[in-house]
Parts: sequence; structure tokens; C-alpha cells
Amino acid sequence: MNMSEMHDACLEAMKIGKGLNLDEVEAYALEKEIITVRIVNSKIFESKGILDRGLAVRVVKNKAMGSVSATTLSADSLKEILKNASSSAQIRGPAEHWTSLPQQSKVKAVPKCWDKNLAELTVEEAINVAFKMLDSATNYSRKVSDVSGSLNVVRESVIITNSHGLDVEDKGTYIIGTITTEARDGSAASSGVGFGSSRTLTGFNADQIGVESADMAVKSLGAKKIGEGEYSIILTPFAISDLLAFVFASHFISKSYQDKVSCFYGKLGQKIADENLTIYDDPLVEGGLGSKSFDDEGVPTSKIPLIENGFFKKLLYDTFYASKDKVQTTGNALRVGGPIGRSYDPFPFPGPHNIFVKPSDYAVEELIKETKRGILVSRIWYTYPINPEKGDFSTTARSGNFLIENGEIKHPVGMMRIFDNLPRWLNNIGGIGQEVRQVMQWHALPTTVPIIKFENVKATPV
Amino acid sequence: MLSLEELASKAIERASKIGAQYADIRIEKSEGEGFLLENGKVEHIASGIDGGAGIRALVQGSWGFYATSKLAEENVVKATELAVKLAKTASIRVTEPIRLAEVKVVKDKDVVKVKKKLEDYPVEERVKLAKDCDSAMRKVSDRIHKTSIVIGSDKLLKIFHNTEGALINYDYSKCYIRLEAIAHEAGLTEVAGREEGGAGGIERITEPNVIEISETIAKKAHDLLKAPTPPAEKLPVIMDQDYVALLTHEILGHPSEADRVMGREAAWAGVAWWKGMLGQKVGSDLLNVSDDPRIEGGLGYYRYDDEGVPAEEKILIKNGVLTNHMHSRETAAIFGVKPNAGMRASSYRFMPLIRMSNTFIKPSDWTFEEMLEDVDRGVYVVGNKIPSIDMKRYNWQISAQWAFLVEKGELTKLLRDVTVAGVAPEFFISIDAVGKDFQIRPVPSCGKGDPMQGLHVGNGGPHIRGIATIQGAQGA
Repeated sequence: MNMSEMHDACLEAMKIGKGLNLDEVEAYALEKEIITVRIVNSKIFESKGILDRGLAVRVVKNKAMGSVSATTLSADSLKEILKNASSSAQIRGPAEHWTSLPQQSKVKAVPKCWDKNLAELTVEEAINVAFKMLDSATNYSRKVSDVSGSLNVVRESVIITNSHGLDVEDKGTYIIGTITTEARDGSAASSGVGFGSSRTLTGFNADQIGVESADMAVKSLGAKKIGEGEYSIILTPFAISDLLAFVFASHFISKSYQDKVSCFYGKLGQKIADENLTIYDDPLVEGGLGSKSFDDEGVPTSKIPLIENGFFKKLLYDTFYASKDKVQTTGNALRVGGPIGRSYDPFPFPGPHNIFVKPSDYAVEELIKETKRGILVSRIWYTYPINPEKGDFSTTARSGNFLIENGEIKHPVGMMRIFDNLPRWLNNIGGIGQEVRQVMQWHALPTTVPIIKFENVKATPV
Repeated sequence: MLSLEELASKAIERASKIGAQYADIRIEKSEGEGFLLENGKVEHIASGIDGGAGIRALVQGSWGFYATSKLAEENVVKATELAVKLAKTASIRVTEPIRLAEVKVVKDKDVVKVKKKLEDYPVEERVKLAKDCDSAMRKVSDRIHKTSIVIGSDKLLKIFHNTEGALINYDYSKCYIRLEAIAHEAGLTEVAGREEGGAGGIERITEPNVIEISETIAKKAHDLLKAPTPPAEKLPVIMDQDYVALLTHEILGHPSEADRVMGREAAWAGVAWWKGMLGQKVGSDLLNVSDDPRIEGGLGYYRYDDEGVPAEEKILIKNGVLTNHMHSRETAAIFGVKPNAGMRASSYRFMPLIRMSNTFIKPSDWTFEEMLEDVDRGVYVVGNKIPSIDMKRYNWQISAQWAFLVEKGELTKLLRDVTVAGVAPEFFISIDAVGKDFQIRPVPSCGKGDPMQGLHVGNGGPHIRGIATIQGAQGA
């Protein structure tokens, strides 16, 4: 089935909905191909792909909404899907706050989010890119003992129509590579990580990923154990991305706030962070990993300030949760798909598209120079909100950890556990870097972030 | 139009013809439905109809895989050809070709036992049950400002076929419920929740007394608003079956996956601290750990894995000694052991990985009261929330739903926002009491692989007691 057939299926769903006397109908069709090459134990271990096509339908009758997703799109199936969604809506009953599915708006494709070369990348070419990532790590040093990682190449096309005449179409390409390198020198062992991501083939540097990973691993050899205590912690963009995706983002989703489980509940409009901290959701960045012109119910996206100069500015809404608060959607309806991009989940949920932390004025060297006793941390691991309503999180500083004393990097250090609190961290920022990097962690969110220093963090050696 | 079995044969024949030394196919058709009920009203309701095929091919010692969500013959054949092409292309630099351990070729059906069919308890009835749970929660206190109940069910028909002649038909169903109460007062929010469910029919959510459970969690969420949060302290900790379920999942189950042990998950889910320690002591004599997919009702139930290998009990730790890992046919060949049916994919979309099924600490002979009696000062933790673990599964921290201070053998004070931290070998050696009150609990969100595969598993055990460090809230 090509996209024109999928478009026909969406329009057919509108017709069937009309025949069923439904008040509103939305059809969402997605075609997505993923090629994944997994590297383990310094070899290509799995080369795999999927061509996934499906439809999600939402219907509304008397303010009651039902939803269905399906991979079968024949005319008979469509009738069945609409009937099922309609029955679900009846069971649901009316949501008195419900206003309406979105109207058609003008949408303009975000530049550099689709690349013909990437869309047409062959299996052989994808595997060659993975070999480059592998070889650049393996050949970096004789101390490299093991290389693992993956390359994901994704192309997707989406169509959304609804019974108010909304009819939008978009397509995207993505390439993401991550390499983890283990290094060994006698009994000393260490690890490093390298990553790269782009919406275009020319924007992706496979060699740099392996080199970055191996360089971190080799430089981390000979780590010394340091004592438990309070340190300035400087997190590199890869580590900051982890914190934003797994600890930070959920607190800015409208539903979390409505449920009072956001650790910033009751503080909308108030100062919740250091005045130098500004964080947006910005889906309009050219070539941004999470950039898109419209959200997963067809609403044009826009730049949404979450924290501006330390003040809590906005929550992220889709149409459903916006209607609860009697506000407009912020264009943040998401149907998140793995390893990146969209899915055809039966209904969307609010969330960030592309988190962007505004850079400040620190060069990395300056941040280090101004640090009396600290640790530079390049990769944090399993960072989870262990008491989510309080903003408590726990993580381990896994790779690329270096002790800083009196403004100088002294030596690599081993793993440390950090158990701390997000609101406290946001108010203890010691400096924000001047350069940003685009990072997408495993099963996480697209982010564009600088290096950030946090003061007075208790770290315990593992 | 070809039957699903004919389609499977067609794909396997095609794979062999174009160069696969081994190939298998999983064809699936599934249906799911679920809803979220909040404060007595259905918030979201959805159903899904899914179907497709995933073909795995071994060519010149290298794996390839391709999946399609269209079950037309041309799509499945094309997917087969792409799986072979992917394998062949990646094989150009193979130095150690993949080998598969021999297994008995099976032709069988695997039908999950159902007491009451899912369709005999339609969504309307389930909504009624959820509303009863909601009422039970909200009548506890007006400080319960939000209740949340998710009920979901899935039905799956699957065929596994491979070039060795294995042909297995699966007919699975499962049902689950998630209950959560959110209490709020004076700027403090406390949440308590619990899951029930498993493989089978609707009985998996109707046999547990979900009304009573609803009351309990709501009462706890309410009481936690007034409970203190403890200071950091290393002391004896008694863990209930739900806490043990997540501890077992994260610190015993995941490191038992042979691919992790071999470092194959280093870039994603991590590795295993006990690499190279088979035959060595990793815990006290009371620590016995197994994985058994055949446990009826467990959310990780199956009789054949996604390589068609018959399921068996995998004895992972016996009397504190590390004895075995969970294996695929390939890792079994490398370790020189019998394959033990550890391979699963979350759907046809994905290539199978070594996964837990129902992984648990085996029971011993202690009663809960006997465990309490011995404790002069300790903590009893109930339920699990969220884990944070290092990449080797060595150093861990897991939060509990709630906890009690134990003083002179008695539960004296409710504690909020309690986390337990430990170092795996130290903690497992410290286990000095293992209960007889064994339970397998549903763990609905296990993630592994790239792209990530979310999977339902069962985990559990009885109450256990060991030495660990508790910590309280870092924020409010």
C-alpha cells in the first residue's frame, strides 16, 4: 500500500463515520520502515528491519470518544474498526469537558527533516555505515577490548484527516548511532560512549561516534575510587539528555499537573529554577530530531517555553487534556514510536517533541576551571524518578567520570551513585555551556542540550 | 488465499531456496482492548487489531530479520527475501559463524488454560468492576483526589515454523488490572498502587479481591500523608512478595540472561556482575532462584519459546550457588549447555531476545511472624515502585510503595517515600530468612533490546529478610 492508498483509507473512514452518524471522526495512517544493525562483542550481530503500516481511528458521539488501532485496512475492516470505536465511545460515555477535534490549520514542513538519500538508503549502505562506526572504535587503540552499539535508520510517512476537514501529511527520516566501547589495560577496565543522530545522511558522522566512544573509554582507564561526599557535578550533553527524558519531562505534562503528581504542582508561573535556565519544547528547529510541523492529531506545532529564566511558564497539552483545563492545545499530542518518530497508537497523549535547553556562556574549560572539587560525568545510567511526586531520582555515573580539583581534571574515577532531587538540582546550577548537542538516548526523548554544572551533589562510590 | 500455516511454509521454503541455512517465522494475529477509568469515569478506551509476520534467517553464520504488518503472501515473501538479504550482507566479515544448539523438533499446540473466557466478561462488565474499585478507594477519604484503574486484555494466535520442521500453534490470552490511588493534602502527594493479572481468562482479575486491594491502597495513600520519611540507615529489611518480585526481576533475573552475561547488551540494558562466576557462591544458602515459563497464570507463561524450544524450569541459583543462565539456542551452544527456552519477542515485529518468563526466589519454611520476631530494629517494605540499577546489576536502589518501622519484633510506624539500596553480593549473602508464602506477581513493563521490546513477565517469591540501606525522600 502506498501513501495515496493510505490517504484513501483515511477518507473512506470519514465516509463510514458519516454513515454511522458520528459527530467527529479522526483517521491517522502511518507507514514506517526501520532498519537496525546491532553490534555486539565487536561484530555485527543482527541486521533487521520492519515495514509497519497501520491506522488509528478516533470517533466522537455526544462528547464520548472511542479509539481503535489496526493493521488491516481493507474496506470491510474499516467498517469494523469504525463500529468498534463507536461501541467503545458508547461504553465510555460523555466527557463533558470535550470541545472538538482540531480544525484544519496551515502547516509548513520543518526544513531538513526528510532526506531522499536517507529514505532510499539500501540495506548494504546501512550495514556499511554500521561497519564504519564499529571500525572507528575498534581501530582507535589496542586498548579497546569490546565494542557494542547500534545503528537505526528510520523513514516514516503520516497522514491525518478528520471530519472537520483537517487533512495533513508529513514525512520524516532519521539516523541514530550509538557505540559503547570497553577498554582494558592490564587489570584496569573502563567504558565510553559515543553517539550521533541526524535527519539527513550528510549530517551523520559514523566515524566520530566510534572515535568519541573509544577515546572516552581509553581516557577513563586507571580510574581511582574516591570517597563519598559533596561534589560539583558537571554533566555532559549525553548525561543531561538522560535526566531530561526520564526525570524532568513528565513534570511538565498537563496530565501530571492535573493529577498533582508533578513535583512542580502549584508552581505554574513561579520561579522553580536558576535564573539562567531556560528550557523549551521546540519542534520547529531545522533538522531537529523531534522536529515536526504538526502533532499527532494534526495541530501545528510551536515553540513552547517550559522554564524561562527560571520561571515555570507552560504545560504541554493535547486537545483532550487542554479541554479539561479549558485552554488551547499547545500542539503536543504524541503517539511515540520506537526507536524514534511516530506510532499508530489508538490515541495520543501529551508530551514534549524536542526538548531544547538554551545554551549560556560557559566554555567547557571555563566550567572546569571554576570548579574546586567536582566530577565530570559523561554518561549516567538507569536514571529514574524513584519518588516521582517529590522529584527524587536515583542514577549511577557510569562512564567518562573524571575528578576535578582546583580547576583541573586530575584523574578518571569509578562509578558513583547519586540519589538526589530535581527541584534542588534546578536551583543549584553552577553554569551552563555555550554549545548544544542533539542527543537521543535509548528509548528516550529527542533533546538538544549543553553541558551543565550542578553544585553540592552528594555522590557515593559504587 | 493461503492459510497461515501455508503462508508460514511458503516463507520457510523461500528462505531455504535463497540461501538461508536456518530460518524461522512467527505469524501472529492479536486483539487487545483496554480502558483507563479515573474518579469513576472512563477517561480513555481503546482496542487494537494487529497482525503480521517476522522472519529470522541465518545465512553464512549471520542473523537477518525482517517483519511486515501485512499478511498478504507477496508481503511475507518480500519480508523473507529481505531477512535473507540482511543476513547475507552482514555476513561478509563473519569470523565465528553463529551455531545453534540442537533441539528436538516439535509439532504441537500451546493453549493457555482459561477458566472464564475474556469474551464472557465484556468491557461493560469490566468497567463496572473498575467503578466498584474506584468507589472502594474514594470512600476511604476525601483526600484521595484521584483514582486510576486500568483494565486490559489481549488475545494472541501465533504460529511458529522453522526450516527444521518445527510447527507450533499458540493460543494465548491474558488479563490484567492496575489500581492506583493518589492522595493529596497541603502540598504533599502520596501514591499507592498494585497490579493483578496473568495468563488465562478473566479470572485473573476477578479471583483476586480487587475491591479489598483498592481499599487497602487508598487507605495507605491517605495514611502516608501523615507518615514520616526515614533517615538513611543500614538495618535488617523484610521485603514482601511484590518488592521481592521487582528485586528478583532487576537483580537476579536480568543478570541471568546469557546475552547480558556475554556483554551483548552493554550498549543498552547493561551487563551482569556475575559474569564468569558459574559454580560460585553469590548468595546465602537460603537463596534459590528459578525461571519457569510453565507456571499457569504467570504473566510470563509459555510452553514453547520463540525458537520452538520446550519450556522447563531453569535453576539459576541453587543454595546460593550460581548454576545456570537463561539461554537461546545460540548462547546454549557457546556455553555448551542444553537450550532452556529463554527466547521471546514482544511481537512479530521484533527479533527474539533472551527474556525472563516467570522468575522467582523459591520458598523456604519461615512464616512472616517468625521473620518479624527476630528483628530488634528494622524495616518492612511493601510493594515496589521504581528501580535504579547500575549497568552490572550490582549496586541497586528500589523504592517501595510503603514501609513500616519494625521495633522489637513489631510493626510500629508507617513510613513514606522509602527506598532500599544494596550491593548485590552483600545483600544476597545477608539473606537469613526466606518465607513459605510464595507468590508470582505480574510485572507488566520489562524493556530490553534495540528497538526496545516491552514485555509482560511474572516475578516473585516469598517474604525475605536481609541487610540493606533504607533512605527517605530527598525532596518535600
